[in-house]
Amino acid sequence: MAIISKEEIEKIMGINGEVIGASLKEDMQFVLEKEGKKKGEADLIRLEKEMAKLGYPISFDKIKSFQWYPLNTNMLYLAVAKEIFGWSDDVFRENGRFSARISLIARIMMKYFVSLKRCFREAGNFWQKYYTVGELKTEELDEKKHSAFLVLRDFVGHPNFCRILEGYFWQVVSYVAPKEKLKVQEIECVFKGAKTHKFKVTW
Amino acid sequence: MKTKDTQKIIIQQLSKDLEDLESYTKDLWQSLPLPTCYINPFHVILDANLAAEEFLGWPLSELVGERIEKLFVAKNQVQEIYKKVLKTEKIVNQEGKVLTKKNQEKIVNISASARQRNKNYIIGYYLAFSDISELKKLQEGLEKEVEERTKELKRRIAELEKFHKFAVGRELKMAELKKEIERLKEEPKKK
Repeated sequence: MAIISKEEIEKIMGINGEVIGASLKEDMQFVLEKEGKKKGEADLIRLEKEMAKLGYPISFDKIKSFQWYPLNTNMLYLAVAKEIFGWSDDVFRENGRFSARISLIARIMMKYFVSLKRCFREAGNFWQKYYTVGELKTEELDEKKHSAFLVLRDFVGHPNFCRILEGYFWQVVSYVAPKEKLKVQEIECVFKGAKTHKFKVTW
Repeated sequence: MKTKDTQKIIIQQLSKDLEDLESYTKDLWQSLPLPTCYINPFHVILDANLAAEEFLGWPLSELVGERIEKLFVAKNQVQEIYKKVLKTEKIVNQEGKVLTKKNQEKIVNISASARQRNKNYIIGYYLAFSDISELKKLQEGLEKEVEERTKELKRRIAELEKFHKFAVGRELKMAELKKEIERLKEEPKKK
């Protein structure tokens, strides 16, 4: 029996767009870091096998940082990881935080981590370096009230991916804001009937 | 159609160039033997090379996102360094103490250089550490030895002086006594 239902796979495979290879590499690195090299490598092989069984093979060591890959394969990979490793929401958040820490894209964007305003202003630019679909914008940035909203339009994704984004946004904002009180929470979600994914950032 | 094909070839070539560039910068950064971190103006570590991971004991994923103060024994030294970097854009061999993951203190020479955006303003700085702990130990050992030897020398000199004083005193006394004997020998003859 497949670990993910046919309906779920169809839904995921209906997702359009592409993701940059660097992002997939970050996810792969997370598995290696989380479980240690030996177990991590075995886990990646397990993931590859499960993806192949579902009819969507992926070969992690052949991924190139600056090539584009189907976004739906990325989302399916996350769904498979949740099923076979039993990852909780917090693990996905940690995946997001980890990605931002080692990210090649984040390194390209480092020049913008010089002020809160600049960092939030570049959110859209940041997004476009990762994905060919969706539009990320900052709304209501209020430095006095220590809050802002990150709104992601025209993007479906996957609930696991929403948690990854919470972690990723948290890490990036922590470079320009004190992290002691920093919180990132999705307050509107496409999977809960909203039109957009909306994240509230407070610090 | 031909234009599309040409565009595709150009994109493929650019992607390949990017991969090569990524590999080159990664190799350059990672093979640098000097432990180096990249810090933003909020003093948050945004990157570190392999030598820094090995020297400090933290993996990259644990270093990135942390404040640089975490690595310093004297936390206020970070502000001093940043002020200097803002002023002079460069620091060479400033002594400091850093902490490793195992809480070991290491004496280092710190060098820093500013990263600028369009030569207009500083967007971060690179910090490089060169471990001089062993050198310092050696230096301290030598200083201690010199100090001990100086002490010993002073003690010997004092002893010699004392002896000299005693010896000279004795010589004088003997000369006096000799004179006295001579005088006493002369006295009966006079009578």
